[in-house]
Amino acid sequence: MPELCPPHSPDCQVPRALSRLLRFGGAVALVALLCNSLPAETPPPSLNDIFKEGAEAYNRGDYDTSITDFEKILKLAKPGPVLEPIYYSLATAKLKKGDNDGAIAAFRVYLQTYPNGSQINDARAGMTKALIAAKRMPEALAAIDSLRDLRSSRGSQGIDNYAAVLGLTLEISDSLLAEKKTAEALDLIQTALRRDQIIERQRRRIVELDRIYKQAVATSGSASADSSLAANRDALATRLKDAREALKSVEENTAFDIPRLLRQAQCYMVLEQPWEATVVYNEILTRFPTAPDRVYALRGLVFAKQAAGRLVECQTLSQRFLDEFPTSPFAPEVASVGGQVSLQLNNNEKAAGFFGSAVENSQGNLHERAIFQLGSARFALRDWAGAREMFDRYVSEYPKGEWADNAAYRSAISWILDNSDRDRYSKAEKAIKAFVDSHSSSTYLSDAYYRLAVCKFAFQEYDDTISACEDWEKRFPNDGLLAEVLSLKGDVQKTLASNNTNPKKVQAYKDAAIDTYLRAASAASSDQVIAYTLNEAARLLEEKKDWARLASVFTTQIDRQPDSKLIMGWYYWVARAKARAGEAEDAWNFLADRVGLQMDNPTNEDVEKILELMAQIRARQHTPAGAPAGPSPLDQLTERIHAGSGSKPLVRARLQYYQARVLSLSRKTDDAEKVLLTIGREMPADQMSAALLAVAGEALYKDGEGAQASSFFNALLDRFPLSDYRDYAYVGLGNLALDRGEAETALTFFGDAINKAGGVHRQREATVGQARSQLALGNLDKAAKLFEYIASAKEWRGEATALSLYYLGEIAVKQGDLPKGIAFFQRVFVSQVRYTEWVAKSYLASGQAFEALGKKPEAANTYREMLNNKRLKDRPELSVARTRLQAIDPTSA
Amino acid sequence: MSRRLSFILSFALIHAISFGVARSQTFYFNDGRKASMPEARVQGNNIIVPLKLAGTDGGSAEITLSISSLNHIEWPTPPVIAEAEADLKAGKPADALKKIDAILTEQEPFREIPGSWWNQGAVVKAVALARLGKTVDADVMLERMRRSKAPSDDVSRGEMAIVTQLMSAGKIDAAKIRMEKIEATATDDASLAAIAVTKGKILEKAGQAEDALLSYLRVPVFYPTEEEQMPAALLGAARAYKQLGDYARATSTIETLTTRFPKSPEAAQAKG
Repeated sequence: MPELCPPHSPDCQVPRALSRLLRFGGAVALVALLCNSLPAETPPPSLNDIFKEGAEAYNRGDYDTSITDFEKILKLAKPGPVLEPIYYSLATAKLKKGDNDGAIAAFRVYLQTYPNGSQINDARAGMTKALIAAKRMPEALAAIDSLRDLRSSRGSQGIDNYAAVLGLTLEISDSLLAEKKTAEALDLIQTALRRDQIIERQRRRIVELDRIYKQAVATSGSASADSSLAANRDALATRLKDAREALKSVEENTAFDIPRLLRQAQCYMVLEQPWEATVVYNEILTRFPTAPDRVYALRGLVFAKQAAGRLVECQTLSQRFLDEFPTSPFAPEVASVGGQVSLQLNNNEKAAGFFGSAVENSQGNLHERAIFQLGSARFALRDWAGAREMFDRYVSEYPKGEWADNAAYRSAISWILDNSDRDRYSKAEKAIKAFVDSHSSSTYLSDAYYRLAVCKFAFQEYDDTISACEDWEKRFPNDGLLAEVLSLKGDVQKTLASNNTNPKKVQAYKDAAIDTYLRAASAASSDQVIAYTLNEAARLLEEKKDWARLASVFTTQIDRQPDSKLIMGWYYWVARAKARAGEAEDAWNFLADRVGLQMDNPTNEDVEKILELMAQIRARQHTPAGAPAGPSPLDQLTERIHAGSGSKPLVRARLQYYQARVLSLSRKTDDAEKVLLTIGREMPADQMSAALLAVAGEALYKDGEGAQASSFFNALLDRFPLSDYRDYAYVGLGNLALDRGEAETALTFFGDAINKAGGVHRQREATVGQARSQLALGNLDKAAKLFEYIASAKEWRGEATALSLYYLGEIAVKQGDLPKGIAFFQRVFVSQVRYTEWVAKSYLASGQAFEALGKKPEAANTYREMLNNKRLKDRPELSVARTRLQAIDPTSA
Repeated sequence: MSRRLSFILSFALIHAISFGVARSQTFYFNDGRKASMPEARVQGNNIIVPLKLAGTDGGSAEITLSISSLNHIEWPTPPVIAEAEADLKAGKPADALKKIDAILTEQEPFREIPGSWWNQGAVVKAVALARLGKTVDADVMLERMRRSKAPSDDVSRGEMAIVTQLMSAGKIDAAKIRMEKIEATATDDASLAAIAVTKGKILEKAGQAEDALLSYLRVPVFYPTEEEQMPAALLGAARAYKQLGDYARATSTIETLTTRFPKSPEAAQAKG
């Protein structure tokens, strides 16, 4: 049997064919090391030929032949260190052939036979690769673990291609992630080297290979190309070249770390560690600000921020994503997340924008969800037509979708919620009936029947409404809407009372309404319904002058819910009942004992209501003639609640508010305004209550202090987004915008006062503002419609009526209908005499209209009448009237 | 020296190397020769190598080779370094300082030679000085390390010790300035982890809880094997979570801290 020569044998020569093989890179070149062990002078020809054939076959990719040949050599040759490269190359050939199990076994043999082999880490890497390909992941994990030592910067044997190890690591981690072994995947990824570490180690490896290579060059000297020394040298040259190429590829790929980091972040997300994921995503975005793959990081960061509850940042990042990557396939998904967090942040407008983007670009489930969410966002924005469009589209595209019932119902009830549609109840009734007919098992049936009853109420079909409410109660006896239904029934009974002329029937309806409201309050679970129904019952009891029951209702309520947020309101009614029953001092004391507890709580809006009642009580008290003057109401309350100059600004401001109300109710309106102005000028907006921000802001605006007023109004909107007083702010900001000539902006604010804030306190002013804005925008028809609405509203009679009639006249004049304009102006100075500003303006406008018609006598008469009107003696418009009169009738002076 | 003698000498030197004491300190010269202690000895800036003269009469001689002609040395790890490191870890910088000086003296002539332990000793000394509040002396040591072309990782470690000292002395701005310089050059995990913790502390003191948290978390995320910084990072992260109102994560982070590092001062602090 032929024997391979011992290592370093000077007799060992390289076959010529092998020297050619060495010119081809990769593992084949390693085979050249075999040259050390091939006897050349007395070689058994068969062994040399076998090797030559095997090496050539390997080089041309004929791995079957090369494997056969190498295996033959291993059978024929005497075991020993010289066979190391053959074992290694055999394993590599099997790996390249795709014989993973064979490669695994061959690498194992190599590792067992040469535990200190020169390419031990390369063999470990090769075996890992084969195990991965064979999907033997637990073993692959163990195999890659044997390369963990490569992480150490000192003392490791090293490997020719560090980047390849990273590739294997990521392959295994992907497999672990797929198997939901996330913690293991993370552990593995964390052992992987960074690019800078790979570069540093690869360079070190190159230095080492270079050193060995140089030694080999020196040792081989002038050895012939076929000599073993030359072969060894050439093999090292190839390894060195490969190692340098590996280094170059890593150095050129500046974004090399991104795939590893993305997987690491993914692991954290799966493990519900969004903060750790944020660290990783931030790292990617900071280190690779222009890499295309940062799209994955930004997307991941959006989700991480959402999971960590950092909603504002999530919203901002979602927008950034859409701005930076508008055509990314992830854009709809990110838009959807942006929409969801915007909803959570109560930013419905932004949510609608995000969902709109998602609807446009998404497909499948995401598309379905996005349509519904866009509908919901628009619904929240009170964009009823827009909401309906989406809900109807949803039902049409996904009739059996998860939210089909919800979408269909919300589409139907959107009609009833659209305040701007005069036919809303008819349309709503039709839509809801259609819904009921087609959704007999809907979860929204109880709500639907309740809404149908509301429609009947709107149609003034009162008896039918009561029947509908009673039917509802029979049909849904345990439904959570009972309180609302009873509340509606109470409203109907109250209306029936007000529409009736028979005193007995009136009282019967009122009594019934009181009982119904009190039943509703008992059934109610929401503060809103409790507050509404109890207040309605209270007003009816007040009308009935049933002070004892009024006090009893609220005393009982206080006992029942002593910790309720509404308790100050109930104290109010108990005190009011006492005051009306003639126990004014008791009532004042009752409130004074309780209001102090909440004076420094800016969120309790009942405090101002109570102060108002206390002011009413004090304003009605008169010091008998000759009696010594007592302490001022302000001092009295200040002392009573143990407040003083050291009290918090809010407490002091509320005391001033009390003082202003006493002054106002004592007909000292100017003094009251001054006190409110003091609050606006001296108190910090960020500590005031909603009511104080509202009234002080309004006082500031009236006084021309627009900037300070604006800060109060903005503070009100920022700090009390759900307050009933928000309409003050919207109206104030609308007026400021209108004063600046920004009619579009003003119109939005006035709309918000009604649509967002419900116009609780300033609906009239908001409507007037809308009308004035439309007029400023030149939308005369829209403006006229609104002014007509204001002028005809009985409950708004007063200055708003005068103003509206004046503007209706102005609009008619602008539209060229001078007689119609004059008629409106005349209505003002005939029927609205108290409102001198509008009377004066109307006289002037009327006179000018007569002049324009060429009716000079009528114009002169108008100016004369104006100049003779004693109420107008201080109006600046008089000088204009005088000038015009002189121009028409010079003798009139 | 005749050509023959020269041949004999060089042969003898190679011979001495070939049979030198295994595992002892070995000097490798640029010309390929090597010599080992205790046969060879260090004298000033030179290494004195004994020679056995070949020939029938035998005899001996010495050759003096300059330390600057060394390529590298092999020197077993001086146990004192590990002891001094242990002292640092145990919060005894004064003890570490006492121990490390001997090594520095011994390694001084070889401080720029690959394989020398001078840098490792120097960094221990710099850290010990910094922890003792002697930041000027620590700075001097670090400057010497830089001139001796010490690895930047070792210098960064010393720098970070000074930053930490400045932090604990309340000199936040000075610490911040120094740290920014280190951040630009540090590449080793130990320094980067220390930077992350220090930055976390600075941000925490500035009331930026979220940024502080993200800085502390860099240690478990990117430098999971840096156990020296891990307890401080975990404790800092737990505090930041609390400030952000995330009590569940704060609790779980403290659990990790007390489980993984039960004897650390940070674990005691967390329990307290």
